[in-house]
Amino acid sequence: MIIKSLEIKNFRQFKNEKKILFSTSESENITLIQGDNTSGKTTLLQAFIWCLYGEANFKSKDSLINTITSYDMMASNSDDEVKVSIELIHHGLIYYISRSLNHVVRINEVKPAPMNIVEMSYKQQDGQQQRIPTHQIKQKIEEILPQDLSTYFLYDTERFGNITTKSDVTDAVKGILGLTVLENTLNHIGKETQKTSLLGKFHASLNLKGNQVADEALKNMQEAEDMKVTLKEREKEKTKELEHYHTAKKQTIEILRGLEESAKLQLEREKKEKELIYEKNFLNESFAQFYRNFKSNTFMYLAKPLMNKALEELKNASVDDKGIKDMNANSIRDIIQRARCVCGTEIVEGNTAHNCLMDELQFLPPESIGNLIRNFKEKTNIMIGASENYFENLNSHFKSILIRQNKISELEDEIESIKSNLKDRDSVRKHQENLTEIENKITNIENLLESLKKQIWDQDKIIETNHKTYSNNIGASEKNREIRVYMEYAQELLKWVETRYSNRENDIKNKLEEKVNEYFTKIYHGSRKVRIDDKYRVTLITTSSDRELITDESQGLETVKNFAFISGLVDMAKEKLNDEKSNLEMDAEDYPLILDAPFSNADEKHVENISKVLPEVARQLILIVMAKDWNYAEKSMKNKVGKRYYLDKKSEVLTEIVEVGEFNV
Amino acid sequence: MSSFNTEEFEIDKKKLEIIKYRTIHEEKNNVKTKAKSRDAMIETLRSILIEEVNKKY
Repeated sequence: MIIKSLEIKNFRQFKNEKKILFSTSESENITLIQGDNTSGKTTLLQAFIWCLYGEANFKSKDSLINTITSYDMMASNSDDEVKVSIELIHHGLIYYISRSLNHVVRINEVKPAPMNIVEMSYKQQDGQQQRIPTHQIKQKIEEILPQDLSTYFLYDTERFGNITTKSDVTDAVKGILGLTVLENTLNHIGKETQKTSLLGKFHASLNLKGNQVADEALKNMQEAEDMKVTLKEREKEKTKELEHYHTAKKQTIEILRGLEESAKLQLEREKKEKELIYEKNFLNESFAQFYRNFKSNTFMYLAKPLMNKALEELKNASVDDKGIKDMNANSIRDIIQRARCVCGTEIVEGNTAHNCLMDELQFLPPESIGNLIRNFKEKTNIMIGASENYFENLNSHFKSILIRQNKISELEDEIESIKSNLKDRDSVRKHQENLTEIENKITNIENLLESLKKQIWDQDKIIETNHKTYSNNIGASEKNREIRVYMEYAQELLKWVETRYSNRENDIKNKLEEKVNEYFTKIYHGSRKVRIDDKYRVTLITTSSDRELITDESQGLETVKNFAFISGLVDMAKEKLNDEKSNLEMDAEDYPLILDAPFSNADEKHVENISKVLPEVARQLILIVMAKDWNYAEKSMKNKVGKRYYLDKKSEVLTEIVEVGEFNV
Repeated sequence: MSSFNTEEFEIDKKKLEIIKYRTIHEEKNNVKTKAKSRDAMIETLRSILIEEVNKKY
């Protein structure tokens, strides 16, 4: 970085616009700005700091705006601004940085705007200005000259203090010499246990749980597969069994079809047997009725044949049937004895009535049996006639008995015949029962197969679900493998950075101590030397009786030590190692040294020595000094001065910047 | 930390060198610019590493 110019407007005691052009020559690399006390030397250094970082560190809390300007503003009731612009060269490009703070008049008072405005641009190869977006300006300035390190290059002797007690010296050395880069790298790579680190993030992205889930899913899948195989075997077995029973069913049905005739015969037999029972019952009833009938007129049953025999015998007998029917001889004699007939006729022996009666006696037994036979015949016929229904009924029942007996006999013959036919044939019922049993078994097996199908389906679902889980998580497992590879590289990178940091840190400490001692020896006119500890803190030691002792420091010696340290640091910063690969973490940088009152407290000899060293170390040196200090330095530096300015203090609130030419010297 | 087996895996030294270079380059830029936060830098390093490891030469 080389500073080309500084332009200030209304900044503290510098009214209106002032511009300082700095020497950029390598041979005359010093820009000298001389000024008396309170002429604005420190203000100029602070102008750099304010322009770059927006901060200014003044002892008084006065406003940044020039006092005269603020009076003018109030008088004219117009706004104005404080502005500082820097033009610099960095890595071959010319940058323009300007920061302004508007001021306004409010009720007879000049007030700064709440925020300053920063603008930055750079000149492109074709000469065109390219504006840098506002949000990138801060980081661009940091890239050019980090604020943390600025105190070492924008050096305010009064404020810098002792390098030994500076708390940021470690960071400054590390920053300038590249150790911060390695330190940050180590910090960013971190450890697996550190969540906010590269390794921690890789570790956190490992899906270790996913492995377990995948294993579990795989186990479930395998169990389900085993179960499915078992179920399938069972299904196969039961399907075969079912086929067997279906075959058996077909065969049984075939047998039953074959036994249809037997079934018919069986039915016929059963029908005949039922009919036989009915006929036998009927026969028993017929017998009962016959006996009841027979008992009702047994006499006739027995007598009738005799009567018929008697009538047959009497059929040819001479029967005198002149007599009065059913009259007997005793009745006639009684009438004769009474001497009067029942009709009133008097009966007297010999009269006609008597004679008729006597004739009648001739037709009656004992004198005649004709009448008796006639009576017998008549009575027998009546009796026989009266018994006709009895015999008809008896005959009818008897016939019925005979018919039943015949029927029974026929049925028994037929049943015997059917039995004979059915003999040696299978029982239909047995086969029917067998068929029913087979059908039940088929139903049971079919139900079981349904259940097995459901269980197999369930296992398929388990397999499918777990396969998805497995696929998802085995993906995680694959991912883990990939992450592990990244982690291996990160670990290797970490090892390398650790080693490099350790080596570089040691090298830098030794080399810095060497360099600082080199410059210290050039500047200091005594026998002390510098020691740098692990924190890059600088102490002065002296040797007494082969013992090294830390020595007290005067303010002058402090200044010498500070410059020796800064010189060593700047020297190392610009050092470009031949082997770029071995110096990856730092770019060789040319830092300007802008020194405010650098020779304060240093004696004449030390000023002279510092004056010899500084132009050699820094690519650009801007010295803001009092005239008396310059007198000691001039001898060594005058040939190196490319630009010279004088701060012409007009009043406590106004300084003019005057460029000093050859004729003004 | 993990039982993961990386025995079959071997670091590609060329890739590692490129990762080293790019990592330091990024870190160096960020020291200068302070543009990226810690998280952003870790993410940048992660991207470099993943990109280089997966790069096919």
